[in-house]
Amino acid sequence: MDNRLKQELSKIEIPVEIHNRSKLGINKAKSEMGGKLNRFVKKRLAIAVISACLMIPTGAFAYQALLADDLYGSFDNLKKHAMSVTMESYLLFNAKLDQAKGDLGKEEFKQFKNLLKVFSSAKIEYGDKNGNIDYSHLPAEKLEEIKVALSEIQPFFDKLNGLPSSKEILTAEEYEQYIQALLDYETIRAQLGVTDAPDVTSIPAESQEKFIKAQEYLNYVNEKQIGN
Amino acid sequence: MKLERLVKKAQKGDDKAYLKLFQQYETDIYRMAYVYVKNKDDALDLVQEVAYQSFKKISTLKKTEYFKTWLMKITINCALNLINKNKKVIPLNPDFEVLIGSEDEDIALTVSLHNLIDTLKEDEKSVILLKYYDDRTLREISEILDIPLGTAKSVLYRALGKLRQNLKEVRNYG
Repeated sequence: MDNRLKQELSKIEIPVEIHNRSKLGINKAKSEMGGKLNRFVKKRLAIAVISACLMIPTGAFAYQALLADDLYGSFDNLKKHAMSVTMESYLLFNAKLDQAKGDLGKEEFKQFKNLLKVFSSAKIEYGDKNGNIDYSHLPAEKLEEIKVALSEIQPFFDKLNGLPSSKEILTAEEYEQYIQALLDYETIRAQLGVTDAPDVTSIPAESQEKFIKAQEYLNYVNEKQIGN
Repeated sequence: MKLERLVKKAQKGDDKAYLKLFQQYETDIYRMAYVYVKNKDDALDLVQEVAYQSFKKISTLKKTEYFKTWLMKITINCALNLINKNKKVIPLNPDFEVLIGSEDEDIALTVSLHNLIDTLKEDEKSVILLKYYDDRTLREISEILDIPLGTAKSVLYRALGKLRQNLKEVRNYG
């Protein structure tokens, strides 16, 4: 009986895609595991794209001079585009700006704000309802502009998060790859129309690898920043 | 020794180590899953699900030498869950599906593997697989499946009885 059963079962053919499926399962678990590291990444990604997530109930806050208003002109303008934004994320963003003002010094803050403006106007023009941009549909010129802005603004985000500047700890080549990973990550989220880290299995097969690669790279950079 | 190191690494969150470890067992898992779900697609889904669940819970594994048994237990649970879930879905045309299934997928399987897959109930499959495919004792089986020893025994004998019965029938026809 013993051997016979094993023999019988060995007749079940093993499909070639089995390795890939194991890998997908493990990657999915990895991406969901809430270590310290992962929380850091999430927090950071949230801030990197936070300019996407702004909305404010005008009545309650109209009298407050919010720095964020400088960037977006008016709330109504924003509301047209970013439907999923909450008051909380708006205030969080404003706090970040306040902090930036204190932390960065006058000149630096001005620079930061200008860069953010490029970034956020792109969000309004091209972003989906969550404020995520599908960069693969952008005109090449615009894409280049955003890429440059992002690579200049990322060190500011790092500073605000109390992390060493990614631009300094990475080589020029690595840094470029890092920026590309950020863009890819957002593109896939825009394509899926989600705000949180998406479930790997919900991503179409052709983008899955790209997504996992982007995510791994973001993890790698983050690890490096924390380790330093 | 190597297994132990890989498990330890995986418990610290090393996904590459875990992939290496898991791939040593994926064919066993696939075949076990196949016995329950009877088709390639669901069995592959189960492999992915077991990989996912096991890596997520690897830190709870205390004795590394039980790793394989632990994986088998997860496989069985996942398979049963999937079967229960599918039971709730009413197929549009069951006869048609069976016809497709038997021509398409199972053609390479022999009659006695069919017997194993088609005549046994889920709990009987679990006991038979653990006993003869994973070489577990009855006591271990009762622990893995969370059933009393006596129940494990009676399920085993019932299953063996069914298989013998089937074997006889096949011979009669032959």
